[in-house]
Amino acid sequence: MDGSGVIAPPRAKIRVESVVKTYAADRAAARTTALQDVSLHLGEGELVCLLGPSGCGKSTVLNLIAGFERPEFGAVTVDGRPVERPGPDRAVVFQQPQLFPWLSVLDNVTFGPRMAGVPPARYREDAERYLRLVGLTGFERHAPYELSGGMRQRVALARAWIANPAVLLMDEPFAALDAQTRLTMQELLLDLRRATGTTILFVTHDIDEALFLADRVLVMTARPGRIKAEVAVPRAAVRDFDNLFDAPAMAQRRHDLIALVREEARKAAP
Amino acid sequence: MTRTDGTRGSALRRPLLSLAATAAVLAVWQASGALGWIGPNLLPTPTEVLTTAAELAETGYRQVPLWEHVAVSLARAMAAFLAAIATGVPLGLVMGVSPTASALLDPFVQFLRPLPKLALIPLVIVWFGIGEFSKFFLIYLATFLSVVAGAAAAVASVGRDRLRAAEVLGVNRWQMFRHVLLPSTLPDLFTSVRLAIGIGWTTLIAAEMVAATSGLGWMVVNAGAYLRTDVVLLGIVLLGLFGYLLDLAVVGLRKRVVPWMGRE
Ligand SMILES: Nc1ncnc2c1ncn2[C@@H]1O[C@H](COP(=O)(O)OP(=O)(O)OP(=O)(O)O)[C@@H](O)[C@H]1O
Ligand SMILES: [Mg+2]
Repeated sequence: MDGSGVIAPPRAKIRVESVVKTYAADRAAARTTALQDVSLHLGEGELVCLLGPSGCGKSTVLNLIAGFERPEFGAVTVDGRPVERPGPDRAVVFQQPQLFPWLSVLDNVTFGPRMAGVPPARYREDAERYLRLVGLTGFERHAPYELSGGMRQRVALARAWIANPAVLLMDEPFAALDAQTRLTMQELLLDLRRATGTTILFVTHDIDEALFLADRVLVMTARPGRIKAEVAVPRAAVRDFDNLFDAPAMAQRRHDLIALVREEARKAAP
Repeated sequence: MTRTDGTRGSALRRPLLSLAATAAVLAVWQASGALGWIGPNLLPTPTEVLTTAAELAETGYRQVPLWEHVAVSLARAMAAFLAAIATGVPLGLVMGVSPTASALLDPFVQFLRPLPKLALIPLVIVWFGIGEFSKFFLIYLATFLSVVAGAAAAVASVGRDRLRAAEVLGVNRWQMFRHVLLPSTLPDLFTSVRLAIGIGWTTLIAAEMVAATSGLGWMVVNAGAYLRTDVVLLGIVLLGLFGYLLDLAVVGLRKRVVPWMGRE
């Protein structure tokens, strides 16, 4: 179950190999080691959840794959090509929606295609479809600041999805939502993903969320982050969220994950 | 103004309080003269200032009608403000975006900006003479430097995650500037223009000390030399009033252009 023991299958979409990442700290001489020899891979069309205590380096892993950061050692590749900069092939949904407040909901959703010079006729239908899927039909002309937090995050999801990205990176996207909205969003994510086959890396604190969504859950150690364990989720046992742990296999995995995360959380905040 | 009528009540509360405070100060000011606390030459009362205003409106001050003093000052200031914004915003944005431009220009901006513009008057007269351009230049310079510094800072304060969100949507460098950075800086740009106009308006009086023969600033300085404190006070009231109106105009424009300010 050790991170270095994970062997990437040949069809990996995303590979992170023996990556080390440190940050300079403004008020301290020593650099902070965020990631210490992290290796992971995501197969084509896989949905992997990254779980771990606060500050362990989950966002750092995501930022490396997005191309926002560069590793000091090791390699990050997507489709076998090293990641050098951010690009529209790897969509990102942040914890905060990061909408553009001067644009309407519709213009936010269509921002990517419009910047790429796609003619309106080609994206209009998609925009309508995604707005309908996220339940925002009728809000096209609203400004982002006229929406609730949950509605904003749904706009962000539609905006990320409309470009039909091969990879979707999500950094605790539903953490700020109420339980009901979060469940709606999670179900929506599963539906969209079933329809599109997008490869998704999903960072979360929430064990239940990870088990509901993921094909595989990776647990990180406390900082400096490494991959501590990998738990495969038997998707056949996953039905609806309310009865998620009726299946003994799922209850067992939940039990295991709680133990793993607790152990690391204690190290992070003794 | 009951609690159940919260929005309407609070919308009215502010102007009413401001009005009440203004009225109170005017009343005390008037009383101070009427009751003989302060001599009329030291501090003419509001009614005396009003009388002077009516007089000057009719006969003018030093052969120049009062409205012309106001118009001349406003024209000088507005020309300088518009030129300062038109040149200062682009330059500040370029400095914000390009570390090279910033390294080259920042020393000059930061050196000149805090300098009292009064100190420049002798040089400006030697360079440009005592015509309109000297006055324009002084107001322009003060406003321009402040706008440049503000615009450069506005770029620096755009959130990292917003830029990242745009990057993953596939924008190129120009699109990033035009469609993300520029609109993101608008709230801060308005704030810095507002501050800069305040500074520019203050410079007006310095500018009109450069051998003017009209304008509110000139009127105040000239009337002071002849101990016409009523005219001085009238000039001060008008300078303050139009400064306030200019500020209200900028704030009004900001509400239209940047409705999202403070609501993100
Ligand atoms: N921009 C940065 N500058 C300096 N240090 C950073 C920066 N970003 C992250 N770090 C450091 O790297 C470590 C990992 O950060 P990261 O944001 O990846 O954690 P995380 O697992 O996403 O935490 P959380 O669950 O709280 O979001 C942190 O402990 C922090 O000290
Ligand atoms: Mg994080």
